[in-house]
Order: sequence, then C-alpha cells, then structure tokens
Amino acid sequence: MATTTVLENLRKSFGEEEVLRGIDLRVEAGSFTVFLGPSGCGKSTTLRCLAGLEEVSSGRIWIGEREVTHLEPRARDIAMVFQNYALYPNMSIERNMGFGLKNQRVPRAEIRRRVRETATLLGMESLLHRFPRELSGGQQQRAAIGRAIVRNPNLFLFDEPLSNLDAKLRVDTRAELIRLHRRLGATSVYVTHDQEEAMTMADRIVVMNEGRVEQAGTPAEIYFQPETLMVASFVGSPTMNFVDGQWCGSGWTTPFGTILGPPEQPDTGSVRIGVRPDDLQPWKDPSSDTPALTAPATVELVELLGARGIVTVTTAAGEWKMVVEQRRLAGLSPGSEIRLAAPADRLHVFDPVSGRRLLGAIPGDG
Amino acid sequence: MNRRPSRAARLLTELGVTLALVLVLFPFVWILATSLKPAELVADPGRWVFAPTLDHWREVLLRTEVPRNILNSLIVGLCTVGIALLVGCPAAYALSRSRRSGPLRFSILSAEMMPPAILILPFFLLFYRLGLIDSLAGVVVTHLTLVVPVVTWFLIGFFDAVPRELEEQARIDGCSVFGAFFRILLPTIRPGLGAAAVFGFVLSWNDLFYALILTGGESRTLPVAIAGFWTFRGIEMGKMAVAILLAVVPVLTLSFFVQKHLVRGLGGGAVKM
Amino acid sequence: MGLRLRFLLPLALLLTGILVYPLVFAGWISVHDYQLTRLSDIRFTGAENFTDTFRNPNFWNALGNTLIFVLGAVSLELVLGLALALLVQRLDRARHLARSLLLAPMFITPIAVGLLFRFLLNAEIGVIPFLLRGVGLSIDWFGPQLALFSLILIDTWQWTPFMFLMFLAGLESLPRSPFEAAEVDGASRWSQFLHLTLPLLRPVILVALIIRSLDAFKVFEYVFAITRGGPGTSTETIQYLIYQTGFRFYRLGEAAAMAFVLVAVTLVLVFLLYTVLRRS
Repeated sequence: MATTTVLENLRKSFGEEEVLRGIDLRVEAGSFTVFLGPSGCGKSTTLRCLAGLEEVSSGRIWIGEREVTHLEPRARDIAMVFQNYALYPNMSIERNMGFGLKNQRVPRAEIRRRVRETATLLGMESLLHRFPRELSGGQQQRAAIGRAIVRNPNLFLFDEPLSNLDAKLRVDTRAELIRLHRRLGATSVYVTHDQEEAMTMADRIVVMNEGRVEQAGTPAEIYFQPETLMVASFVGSPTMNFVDGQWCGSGWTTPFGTILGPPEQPDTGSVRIGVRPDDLQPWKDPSSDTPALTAPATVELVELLGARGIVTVTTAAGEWKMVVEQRRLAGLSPGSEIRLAAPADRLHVFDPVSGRRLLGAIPGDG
Repeated sequence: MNRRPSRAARLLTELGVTLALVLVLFPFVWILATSLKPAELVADPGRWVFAPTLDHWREVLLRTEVPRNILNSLIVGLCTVGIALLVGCPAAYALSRSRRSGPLRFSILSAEMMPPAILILPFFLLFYRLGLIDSLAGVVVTHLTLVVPVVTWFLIGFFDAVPRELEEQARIDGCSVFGAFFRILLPTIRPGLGAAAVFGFVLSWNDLFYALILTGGESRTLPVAIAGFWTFRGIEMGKMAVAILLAVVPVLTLSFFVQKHLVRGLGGGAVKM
Repeated sequence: MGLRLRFLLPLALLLTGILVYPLVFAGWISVHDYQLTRLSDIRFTGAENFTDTFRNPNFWNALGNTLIFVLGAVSLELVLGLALALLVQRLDRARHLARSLLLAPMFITPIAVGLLFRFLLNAEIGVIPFLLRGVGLSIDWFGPQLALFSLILIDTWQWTPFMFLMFLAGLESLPRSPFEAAEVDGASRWSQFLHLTLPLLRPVILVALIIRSLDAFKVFEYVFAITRGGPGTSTETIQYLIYQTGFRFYRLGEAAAMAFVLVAVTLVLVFLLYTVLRRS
C-alpha cells in the first residue's frame, strides 16, 4: 500500500529554540526519500513529527488521504526503524516482530504466518527464537527491519538505521534495503547524515539545514545543480572548491585572475564560484582553447586512492582539492607548479549574500 | 594491565582480603556461637568449646513475642514497599524522561536525606490525636518517608538506562503511553524493580528509630524487640543472639540476589543531576 | 506534558503528605512551648526554643560529637573502602564470593550491630578485650576517652562495605586504555593510582561521600544500644539528644527547634557537596 505523504508548513519549537522553521514537502507514493543534513538541521525532528513522537507546534501532516497531525503514533499506520534497533529486550525476536500485529488484533495464526514469511524474506528464520541480547548488532538491525516490514504499513520511517553498523555491513545492508524497497514498493522516509547513503539509496534527496529545506530533488539534481551554497558545500567529497569574484564585463575577477563568463551575461556583482574537485584538471596544453577557469597552483600533497588520486594544491584562493585519474598523476609531486583548469559548464555561480544559485552547471550529464 | 603480579604481591593481596574477611565475619561467628551456647557459658568469653544447645532458639520461638515481632516487621515492610513501588515507579519514569529534571531529582535525594528526628515529632503528635500510636499503620506511614525516596531514586537510574526509542517503538507498534509503560518498560527494568524492592524492604525491616517511638506491646517490630535485650544476663544474651540472627538471615539472603544491581540504583539517579 | 504530570502526581501528593506537611507542622511546633505533659497549655513563644537551643551547652556538645563522629567514621570508611576495593579487584580467585561476604554488614539492622559490639567489646565478658588481655593490653572501649571513638569504629565496621561496593563497581567500569598508556609510558603503580585511578573515580567518590555523610548524621542506634549518651554526655549525638528531649522529657517544642538546626546543618552540607559534584 503505497501512500503519498505531505508536510505543510511544519514548525516545531523546543522552548525558545525553533528547530523546524516551516517545512513544506511532498513525499511521493512508493518513493524512497532521504532527509540529508548536518546534525542539528532538524531532519530527525521532522521524522519524529511524522511518526507522531513529537507534537508539532504548527502546520499539518497528511499520510495518504488522512490528516494525522494530531494522531497518536499508533493510529498512523507507520513503522519505524531506529538507530539503536530498539528491540524489546524481554521478548524473543518472533514476539518482537509480532508485537505490532498483536496490538492490531490480528489472529495468532496469521501473525505467525506473516512473521515466518518476513523472516524467510530476510533470511533470518534461525533467529526467531532467540532474544535480542543474543544477537550481533547486524542481526539486531535485521530483526528491527523485519519488525517494520511485517506490519505492512503505509509508511516506513528510518532514523539513521545503519549508523551503528561497521563499514562493510553498512554497505551490504544498504543494498539489501534498496532491494527490499523495490520489492515492497512502500513509501519510505530515511534520515541520514551520510551523503554516500543518501546518493546511493534515494529516489529523492531532501537536504535540510537549520530547520529548513535547502533543496529537494533527485540525487543527480542535488549533485550537479545545487540550489544553494550550503547544498553545494555539504554534498560531494572531497568538498567543492570556492573562490570569490567580482563581475568585470566579460567574466569575474578573482584572486587568481579572470574567470570567463558566458557570452551576453548581465552584471552579477559579487559572486562566489564553486568547482567540484572532479571537474578540475591540470591544464597541460596552453595552445588549445582557453578554459573558462585557469589558475596557477602549487601541489602540496598527493593521496592515491587506487584508480584516482586526490591532489591538494595551494592557489591564490586558498587550499583547493582536485581528483585526478591515476595515469594522469605523473609530474604532480609536492612542490611542482601547475595550472588548474575547469570548463565553463562545470562552474557553479552563487550569490554570496543570499547563498542562492545564479547560474551554471547542467544537471545529470556527468 | 597485563603485567603479571609477583607471587609476593598476590600473597599480600590475598592476605589483606583474608584479614578483612575475618574482621567482617567474626561477629557473625560469635553471634551464631552465642545462640548455641548453654546459658551458663554465654558470659564467659574464654569458652570456645561447648556442647551446642537449641535451648535459646526453642525459648525465643515458642515462649517470646519474637515471632509476632517478625510478622509485624514483615507486614510493615511489605506494605511500605508496595506503596513505594506503586507511587515511585511512574514518577521515576516521568523524571527520567523529562528534560531539566535536575532540581526534581535533587529534591528526591534530599527527601531521602531528611533526618527522622524532625519528622517524628509531628508524626507522633498526629498519630497521638488519631489514636495510631502502637499501630502498624503509623509505622508504615513513617517508613514511607524512608523508602519512597530511595525506591524512586533507584528506579530513576534504571529508567535512565532504557533507551527512549524502546517506548517510542512500542507506541508506533500500537501501544498507548500507559501500554508502553506497563507492557514494555516495566518488564525491561524488572531487575531494577527487584533491587529497589529489596533495598526498600531492608530499610524498613532495619529501622529502629520510628518503630521505637511509635510502637509498643503487641505492635513492636523486630528491631524494637531486639533493642529490648539489653542486660548482660546469660539467658537474655542467648535469646538476643537468636533474635539478631532471625533479623539478619532473611535480609542477607535477599541481598545476595540484588547485589549486582545495587550500584546502579544507588548512584544511577545522579547521572543527570 | 499533562501525561508526565499524571505520572508524577501520586508521588507529589504522597511526599506532600509525609514530608511537607510534617515539616510545616514541625515548624509550628518549634515556635511554641509544646510539652506533651501539658497539651492543654500550648503557648506561642516565638524564637524562644531556638535561642534556648543555642544557649544549651548539651546541644553544642551533641553537635560537636555528631560532627566528630561523621568526620571520623566517613573518612575511615572512605580510606578502608578504597583500599579494600583495590585489593579485591586484584584478587584472582573467589572474587565474587569475597565481595558478597564483605558486603554483609551493611544489610544488618544497626541496633543489632550496636548490641553485638556492646557485648563483643564489654570489658568483663567481651571476647575482644579478653583476647587483648592475652597480649597484655587492657583497653576500656566504652570509657570516657574512647567511647565516641569506639562508636566510630562500629560505624566503620558496618558501613565500609558500602564504600567498598561503590568503589569496586567504579574501578571495574574504568576504561582500560589510559592504564595501558600509562604502563607504556613507564608510570609506577603508585603514580597510576594517584594520577589516573583517583581522578577517574572522583564522581563515584563524591556520590558515596554524600550518601554516607548524610546518613552518618542520623546516628542513633549505636548510642541507644551501647552508651545511651554516656559516659556523662561524651557520646550524646544530635539525633539521640532530640529523642531524649522529645520522648523522655516530652519537650517537643525544644526538640523541634534542635531538629531544624540539624536540618540546616545537613542542608548546608548537601548543598556544598552538590556544588562540588556538579562542577566535576
């Protein structure tokens, strides 16, 4: 049962402190939506309001056709998976998974059947008779996910469910969650501060900051077309490089020279220009067409990650990073003087005061 | 620390612990011996070898008020602990789950520390007017002042250790706040409930001050009865030994079951003060 | 939020009934000439009971005795409890058994402990003086010089286990890595104890100190069981003096005034310790 969920001008204050400052959002039926943001941005609070665990200060929430703003959590037909699993320590895994159904007065035989079915789906039949304390962290997380699935709810909520797992298990569980979502097709809202998780899992990412939605879009839109400086600098690793500039008629004057603007560009005043480390290259051939951005730089450090390397350089705008393929790393050793270059269509231009995007970079052809 | 202690160090450690054990256990051995000594030998500290006799035990259990006193203490202890759990449990939960509960936690702690000397005066007058002197009900009320704060304080520590998400999960799974409390939280902190109940019971069982002032005759509790064995006459000392053992053995037995939970209970509520 | 109040309400009502109301009543008693033998003639006397208390040498004597008792007993218990915890922590075998046995005294009713030692330490029939005479020592444990000290020792016997319990648990929950680092740095056992163990145990030590000191202020049973305040007034403690004043001489007004002074003293102590605890 996939359901659209809508948040309308959601506000929440704890005493004097306003944590949510008007969230408007539509979570499409059957989508996997990820709330992404730094800690304290309000993503968990939004999720908890959605679950009914926090009373909202103002605004409205719909799950499907029903307004649930002031309903108890149990009346919302949702399931939630917590970071610390929150398995009932006094119940076996089977009873843990069946607890919600039992409260819905589902007949016992049916509970048994559905719990078994879900356990088979997750490959955890052998764990059903054990108690939470006898399980490893990964197994506990699996049981918690199973407990959510068995309910067949309108809406799945995940609150950083993978944060307590080790790196390898995290990647495996991530893949499994996506498979499960494709199979069950249920609307899911997933909170994380891990952008890799967000990028790989989401149909739609909602980047939050200081109690507001900064940008909502597909992972590609978020990455290639960041709407604000905050999104641009928060998403992507290594983080985007920035330089401040001033419009000079044909481009922007920056500490390391002029960056060429598009033809017939009207006056933009002061700007902050961003370039992703992937979009920077050492410029070796001065005879070819001059790229929009060129800058002299000194190599500080080369970190080889395997097929690619991260090169840290010093420019007139401070320390920048670029990602270079391994075979093109030759000649880039600490101390060497190089020129950096980036094409016009890879520049992100922002208003430094409002943080809004002015122009640049096209979505999704990377 | 993987450094292996030397033989000498190990020997010293064991010697030290043995010495402490001797100091702790000696009075117990002595009281047990006294309870079995013939009356005419009780006052002779040099006599260690004697034919044990159950005279004192028979005397105390059959011909004194002590069984009655034990029953009184039991009734008072159970009533007190029952009320304390009923009232303390939900309150401890609420305190554990509220932000900025520091001052409230602190007031629970200071209630625990209120000197009985100041409370006994008004209680005595009140019970005097109500005709509750020499009744167990009065003792229960005064013991509540000892036990309720301690039990609440204990349980705060145990509730603090239960992650909030557990009851949130229960509420999502279809429980009301009360349902989550009774069906999920209370079973989860069962060891804590046991420890708090035992500790509260021991406090009530061991109290002399209130019971001494508020009871007499039929309503005397065990510690008051024990306090009555004041003379140095051999026959009385033997009976005293029996009475003391009767008071001590049950609580020591209970204590073994809850020892490992005591620490969290005693210090627990202080974590967020 | 209403729900939270509903959970708290029974406790709030109960504590009001059994603590706040008696305290207010006690306050009322303390400003009256309230004698149990003259209930028909209760007169308002203002602060007279308090000024009488402050002029009463017995009160100051009892307060002094109580403070000496608390200081002596609690510091002895602290040192011995810590030593014992360190010893037992290093014990390789029978650690749990040793712990269980060592804790026994704290569960016994104090009146029994008092009577036990009254007989154990009695100059004529006590086992301990008997054994000491064997090595040529003759000590009058309950004579004017030693009686208060003996009470301190008895309290130490009963309550060192409490300190021991807290410290052992504290020691067992200490992180290992700082000690391994100190080991690598070549720190001696003593300097590890001084610079790592003690500072890390500080919160536990403070909690244990608070609980024990406040409890020791209420000392009554040992006095009642053994010395009844004597010889002379050398072991009269506050709680015992209040008991005497109120329930032997039936001067409730005076007893209430004394009790309030005791509360004030304890509150000052709690507050001091609480501030220290919060700072750490």
